[in-house]
Amino acid sequence: MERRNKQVMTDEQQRVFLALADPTRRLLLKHLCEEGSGTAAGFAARLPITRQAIIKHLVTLEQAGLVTARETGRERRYMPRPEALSTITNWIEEISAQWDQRLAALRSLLLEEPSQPDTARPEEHTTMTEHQERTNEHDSDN
Amino acid sequence: MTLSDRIERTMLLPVPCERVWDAVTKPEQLARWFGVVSDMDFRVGGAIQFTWENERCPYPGRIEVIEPKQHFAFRWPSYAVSHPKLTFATVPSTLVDITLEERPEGTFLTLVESGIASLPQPIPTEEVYRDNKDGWQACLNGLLAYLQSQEV
Repeated sequence: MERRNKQVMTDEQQRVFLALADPTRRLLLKHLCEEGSGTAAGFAARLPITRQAIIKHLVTLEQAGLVTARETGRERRYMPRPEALSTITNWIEEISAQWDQRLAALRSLLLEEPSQPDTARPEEHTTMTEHQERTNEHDSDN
Repeated sequence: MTLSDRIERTMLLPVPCERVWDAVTKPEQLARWFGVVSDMDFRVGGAIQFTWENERCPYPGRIEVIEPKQHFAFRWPSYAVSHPKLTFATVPSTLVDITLEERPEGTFLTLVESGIASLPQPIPTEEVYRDNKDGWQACLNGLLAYLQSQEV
């Protein structure tokens, strides 16, 4: 019998969502994505935030796996980390899969049939990224 | 393509509307497909208490819409974020929106969960927070655009 419980986040997912919960960190990540990379000193020069605070934010983003850094001489240069997106898309996939399970069970309940998740797949309307669609191994059986 | 803040599913159920309505609003039936609702105050604004994995969820959901046999919607805590400073007021929620449409073939059910990109409200620290209404959607679409620009 399937457990119809709430999807609980992994520690990794939690770190990502908590990292993104701060608008300054979202702003820093936005700049990094637009510019390709950045340094704490570079951001401090043009944002009304102290370099110290920026470093804290960048470290949080790094610990969440949203950015990576490399030492270039005296500076740490940060850049977006491509794998970060999969943490989010995987989370959305998990929620979606759970809804599919629930709706299949609803159908079974209403038709008083044994649960047949493969034959009772609801139609999908989720917008997914191209990246996700290309790499998605669980193709919808439409 | 962009990251969507919502999940939508539809299903045609070859049974009358009344039966589907009962299945989505009565706790004893919800338990059979959705999950355990240990408490429900069935009115707009009423609380829904969920229990999962034999543990009572620390935060109740809230019923947002009741239009008999047509529309049922509730908010619930979007994820179990274990941060010591999050409270009921700051934990993000998603909206689960179920609409029923009577058709000759039965009942057409549409389910939308939205607000998946919702974030915890500002966690009080020594830093100053600005407007936090945006979810992570715009931010991650920026990341997505960056990644796509790299795939040349």
